[in-house]
Amino acid sequence: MKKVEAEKVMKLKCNAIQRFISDYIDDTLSTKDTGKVEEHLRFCQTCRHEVAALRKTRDLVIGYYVEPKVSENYYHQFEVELHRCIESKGPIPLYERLKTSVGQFTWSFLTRVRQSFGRYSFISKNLLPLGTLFLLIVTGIVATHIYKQDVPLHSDQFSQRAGKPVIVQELNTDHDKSEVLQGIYNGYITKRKAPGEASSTNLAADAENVGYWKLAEPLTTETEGHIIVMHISNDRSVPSDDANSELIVYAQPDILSNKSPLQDDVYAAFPLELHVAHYLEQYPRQYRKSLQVVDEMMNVPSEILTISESYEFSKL
Amino acid sequence: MERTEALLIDNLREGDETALSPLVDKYKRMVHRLALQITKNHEDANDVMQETFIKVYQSIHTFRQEAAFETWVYRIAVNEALNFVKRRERRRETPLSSAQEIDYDPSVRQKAEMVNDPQIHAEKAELRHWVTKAVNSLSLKHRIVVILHELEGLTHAEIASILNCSEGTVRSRLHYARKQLRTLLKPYVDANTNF
Repeated sequence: MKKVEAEKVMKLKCNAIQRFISDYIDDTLSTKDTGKVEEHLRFCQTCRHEVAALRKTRDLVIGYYVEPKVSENYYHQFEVELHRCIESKGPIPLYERLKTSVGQFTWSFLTRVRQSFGRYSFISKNLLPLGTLFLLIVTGIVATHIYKQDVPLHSDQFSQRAGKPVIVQELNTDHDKSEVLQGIYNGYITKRKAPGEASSTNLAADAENVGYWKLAEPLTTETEGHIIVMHISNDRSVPSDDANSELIVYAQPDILSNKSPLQDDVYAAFPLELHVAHYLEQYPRQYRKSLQVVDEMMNVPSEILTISESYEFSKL
Repeated sequence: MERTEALLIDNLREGDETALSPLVDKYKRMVHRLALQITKNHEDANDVMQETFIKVYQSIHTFRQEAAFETWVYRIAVNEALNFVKRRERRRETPLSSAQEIDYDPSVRQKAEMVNDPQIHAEKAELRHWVTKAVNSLSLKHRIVVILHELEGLTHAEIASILNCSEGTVRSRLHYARKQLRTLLKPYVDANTNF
């Protein structure tokens, strides 16, 4: 009886079993196929040996393959490079986004129509006009959505929202002044030229008279996407009407540190970021545009901008 | 507050570039490992990794939520790596010059063995060398399946989706690759030692 059973199982040839072996050792065979393989293995030593060998091979690869070694610094460098590369490539073109959005909506619409085709006879009768109408509506919605994201608010709205920085403390002594400088580095304190003071063409001469203030609301240290406008006279010995001695600087703290623009002398910083941050949260795609604005600001000579003037200038 | 992956993907779709960093951070090791194993070349792996994440950023709006994001990233990385290898082959460059030989991480396990028993350490170091060499000597299509299945732990269905082929093809390639490896590692497979 046992011999008959063995012969029957052996009829399932080794070649046929071979194709199941990998799945068998991975335990991904169906119960039925697993049963067939196990039956065969009971009587076939060659296949048993094959299964054991492939299982051991798999375990050797899993246990002994050595992964390539890479330092953490490598990943850090990579991320810096990646961001630089993405910045240089610019944002995804509008037409690409529009194309994809319309494509996805159309596909979804056609699928739904196909599904409801049998149920609603009026759809089948008026498929073309209904489809066209739907596509027009969808395209309108998508286009409006994208337009809203790309078109910034008018500068006036921001001027109103920006308001004036709230001053809580006036600093006049040299000690206070160095504290302010330190504060600028930390991104928490800013100072600006006193209202009604002489124009920037005489900044160095007026340096002693410039007012220094702390702001009630600290600037955040998360400065990505934020703008600080600074007005600096780097060197007192340079004639004060020399436009080149004055800078308007866009800054994240690290950029400030690298450029070290605050060695001494006069500067004015406007806490645009308090408001720009809010704006950028709402319109993240404007980030890149705001950087361009900042680049333009860098070229503005010898002007101290008020907050509203800055907004007007930046057209955010 | 930490953003979930789904939220990061949504943010990235909306053009928020800051959402890319956490995603890169999560997948960079996986992508780099995969790229290096396929290209066997540091320079190409670096380029593959960069192209992969740029493509993730630029094509995020084409990603459909029904697929796993991880599988999607895998697919991009594998395709980029394959393109690099094909390009390199067209240029008829050698896949791996001695100067570019990859450093492998022997890991903490090896150091522990060294302290306990120098002989075992030597044997296992040799085994690691041959296993790694055997996997790297497989043809590209077989190596990819081995890497994705044995080392990355992906299922046949996931690999089929990444390679854009049938599950049957994945199974057959895996089986063939294992048989190849078995031949290459015969002395170790036939040995009675339990490594």
